[in-house]
Amino acid sequence: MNATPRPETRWEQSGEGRFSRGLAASAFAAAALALTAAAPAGAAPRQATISMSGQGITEAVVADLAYFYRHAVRNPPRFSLVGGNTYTGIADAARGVVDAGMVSRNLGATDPPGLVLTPIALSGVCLVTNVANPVPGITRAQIQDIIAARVTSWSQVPGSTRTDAIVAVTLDPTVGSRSVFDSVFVDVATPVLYTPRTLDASTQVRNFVESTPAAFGYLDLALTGPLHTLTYEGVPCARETIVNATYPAQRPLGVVTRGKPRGALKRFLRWVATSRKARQVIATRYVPWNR
Amino acid sequence: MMLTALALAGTLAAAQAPSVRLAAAQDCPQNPNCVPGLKRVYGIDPGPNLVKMAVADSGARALDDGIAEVAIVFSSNPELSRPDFFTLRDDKHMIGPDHIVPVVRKSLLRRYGAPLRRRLNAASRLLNTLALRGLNQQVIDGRLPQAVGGEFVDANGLGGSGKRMPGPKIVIGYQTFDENQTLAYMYAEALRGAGFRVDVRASGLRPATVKALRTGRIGMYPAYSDTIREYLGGKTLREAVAKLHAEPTALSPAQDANTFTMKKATAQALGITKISDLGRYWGKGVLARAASDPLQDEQWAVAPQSVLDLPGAWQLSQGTGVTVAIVDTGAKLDHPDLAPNIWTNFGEVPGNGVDDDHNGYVDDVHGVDLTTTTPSQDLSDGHGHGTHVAGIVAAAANGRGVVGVAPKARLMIVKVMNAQGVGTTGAVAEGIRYAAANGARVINVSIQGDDPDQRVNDAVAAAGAANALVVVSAGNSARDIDSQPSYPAAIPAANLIGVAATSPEEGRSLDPQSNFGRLNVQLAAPGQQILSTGNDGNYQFKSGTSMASPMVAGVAALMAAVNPNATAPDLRSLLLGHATRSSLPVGAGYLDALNAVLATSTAVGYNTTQAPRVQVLQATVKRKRTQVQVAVLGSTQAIRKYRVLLDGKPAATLAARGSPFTVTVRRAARRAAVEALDASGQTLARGQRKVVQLKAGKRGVSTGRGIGT
Repeated sequence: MNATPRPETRWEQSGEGRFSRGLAASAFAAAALALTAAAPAGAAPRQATISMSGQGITEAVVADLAYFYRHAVRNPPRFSLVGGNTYTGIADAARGVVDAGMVSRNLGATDPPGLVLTPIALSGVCLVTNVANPVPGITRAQIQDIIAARVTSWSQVPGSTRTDAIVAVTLDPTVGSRSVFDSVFVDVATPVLYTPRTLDASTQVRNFVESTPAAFGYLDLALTGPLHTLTYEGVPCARETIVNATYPAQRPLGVVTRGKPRGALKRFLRWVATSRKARQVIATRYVPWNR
Repeated sequence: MMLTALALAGTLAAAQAPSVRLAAAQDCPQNPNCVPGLKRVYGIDPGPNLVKMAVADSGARALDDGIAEVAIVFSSNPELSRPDFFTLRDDKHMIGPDHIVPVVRKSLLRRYGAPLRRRLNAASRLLNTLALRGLNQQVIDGRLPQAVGGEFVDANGLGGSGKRMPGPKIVIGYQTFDENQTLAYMYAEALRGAGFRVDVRASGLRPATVKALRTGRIGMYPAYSDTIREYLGGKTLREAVAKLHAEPTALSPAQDANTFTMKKATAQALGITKISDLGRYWGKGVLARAASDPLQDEQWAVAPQSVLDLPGAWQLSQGTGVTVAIVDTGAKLDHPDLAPNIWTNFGEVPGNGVDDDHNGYVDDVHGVDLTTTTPSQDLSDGHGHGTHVAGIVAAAANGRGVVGVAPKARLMIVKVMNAQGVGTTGAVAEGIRYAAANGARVINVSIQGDDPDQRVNDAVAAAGAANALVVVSAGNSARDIDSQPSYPAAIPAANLIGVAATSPEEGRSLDPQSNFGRLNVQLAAPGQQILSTGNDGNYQFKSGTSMASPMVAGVAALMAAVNPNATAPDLRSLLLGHATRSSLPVGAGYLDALNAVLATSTAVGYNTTQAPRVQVLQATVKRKRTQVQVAVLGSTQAIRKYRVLLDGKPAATLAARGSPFTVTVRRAARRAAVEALDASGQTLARGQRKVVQLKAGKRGVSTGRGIGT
């Protein structure tokens, strides 16, 4: 993990001054929206609250950005973040339960109309094994063989020192990483005959692979720390190869809103897109969207 | 964590494990807190029963997978917060206390003196082992150690930017693993808050970090008291670190020590409570079976094969300490399966015709009757719907009849519908408010109406402010309520869940009468042919989304019991995020009790890590008694007491306690304020509210739109 240097000056002036004059009115509007029901009359001075729900991996990035944003600007808003998955983010944003939904995929045709995606970062979906099984790399053809159950043992995979059965793990079809895996790594013509363990969340996959020496799976770049990451067709899954687009399995992390972002949320997202600090935070694990 | 393995693990262990195996790190045969310690202190040796784990601190996983019965797990591992885990007592004191302790170069301590020491000690005091597990969990979930450590200090009153302290920059090192990095940033943020200039940098593994401190490349680092003493050698910690030209500051209560941990069920079955018991039981292993009620076999939704997997969840929680409000047709309070779990308002004297607890309601001993404006309460159920719903949530596990989803939860009866099963939205709104104001963490509303009423929306929001989750039925009109809404299911709120009903055959098909909708209906749960308590004192089958909603409410109670700090939006998010995905026309999928409860046991919601916020939910006065109801959101780690002020003057001081809470002061006032204070008396958060005259309840219950079961 890279330690990000801390600015000596705690208030980041650049950019914030431009909208500070309009802060009072818009912040109060946002605060009124967020606190209408919950805040009692006579509570402490109003502070804008940005509420979001949705994908856990995106939540982690947004929470970190929120921490540094609060140290960077005057009169920072409160953040109310609730994890879950991309579905909850999209549904809650569409229904007005939250100001924004946190997602890890592009919007699709079946999503509610009127939503706008603001990408924050670009991530990769990496192929992983247990650290005790450091297979250097895998090819597209080998993946088809595993999916089609033509290869079922590590003894059939060059570079592996293991001889036991491959314990494949996958994610539920509605999870963003799964759709990236299916679309990027699996040929349409490949018969899906393997029988992987199906889990609901990327963190579950990480824990499973971390503790299962014969495991083979895929998950988000940020969660690969305790695992061995395989190269795909000789290309490592890393920020550099995602930046230069040589690694193919990519997906956006971002927030969706009903219409364009407004008020305190808009200012936060502008800071995310323009601040050097925000880019540093994102770059610790991902690729900043506006690189 | 691997969730689905949990239920199977015990069974596998029982069937295949004649011995008690110990899962431990590769260095266990050399680690003084492992095999050598067991031999030297306890005179026991796991021998061939030792299972060496390739991955560090993966013992919890070994227990889940059934490859060991005992595992060595670090005490700061978030998995240890799981209620199905049991830590063996170290009855012969083999394992030393391994406290977090900042080790600081003497030159720095001489240069900065007491201010530096005071600040480090204050940060150390904030942290205990549970809090450390929470920080670790956040990093495991993908957050940056820098943000997590800094946020913890910010949220607990030590952050900010103090007046600049003249002098050289303090360089804090950390060993290259996440926990130590988080701690380094925690101390860094605390020092910055006092005006010190600080840099944080990685200093390698322990040998490199120790060398960096000795040579002055770093000024301090967060060490582990026993580990560093043993590593450096010395009778005391001070003597050991003196070799590095350093001194320890105060020990934090937080520890990261080895623990010997078992699954609770396994430990109970084997009669193991302490490490010395292991010597008697190498080679033996039997698991206990969960007790069941006579009619449990007829409760298809309760069976292990159902989508719910309640027996698995019951290993973790049975809802103890959680109150679930049943907003319905009343209930048969003396039903043998309900009576043990009926909530009691101990502030109310039964039958004296007086509002003893000043909550606006007379004689509301077990709940309130909002089907009438008369002051007295008649909670009896002339319809049967409420009694059935109540049994689904919390019929007692008492060896008779049926068993509820949360068999040890409390049932608050809020009657809003009459014997015909009809009522008004005004009563529903007041019922939700009553439930939240009187301590319900979960509010079940198995009610359907076609018309919105803003008062119900406001009541749901008020329940949210009191941290109550509202679970509602989707309705039984076989329609898509995204396009043709049904209320209250269609109310958009972060503390509300709409529930569709599934039919038997493992509960994977939608009940043909159930409403649905991918936006307005989040979960599906068993709702057809559900056996539960009847208002005739026996047991009845009923079907509909009214029966599905209490399934979710019951699971929410199990979750709230394992993690009382979880907020209502967190509970909703965990229920949705750990539902079993499906092709059903609902948002998240099937309710999955085991996954949801297990995930809740270690979850750290973002909002619970933020600076505390005090909300005065209501303040009322009657006969010179002012009553204030308070909710505290965010981190309560640093809060030591609350101060109540009436008209600006201190009126009462309370020790820190769970939220929400109510305080009554024998004094009239026009404005009430509540302050949360830390150990030094500094105000961390403040809330206030105008005091209003207490009004009798039930004023709006006969108004509004019609609703029904």
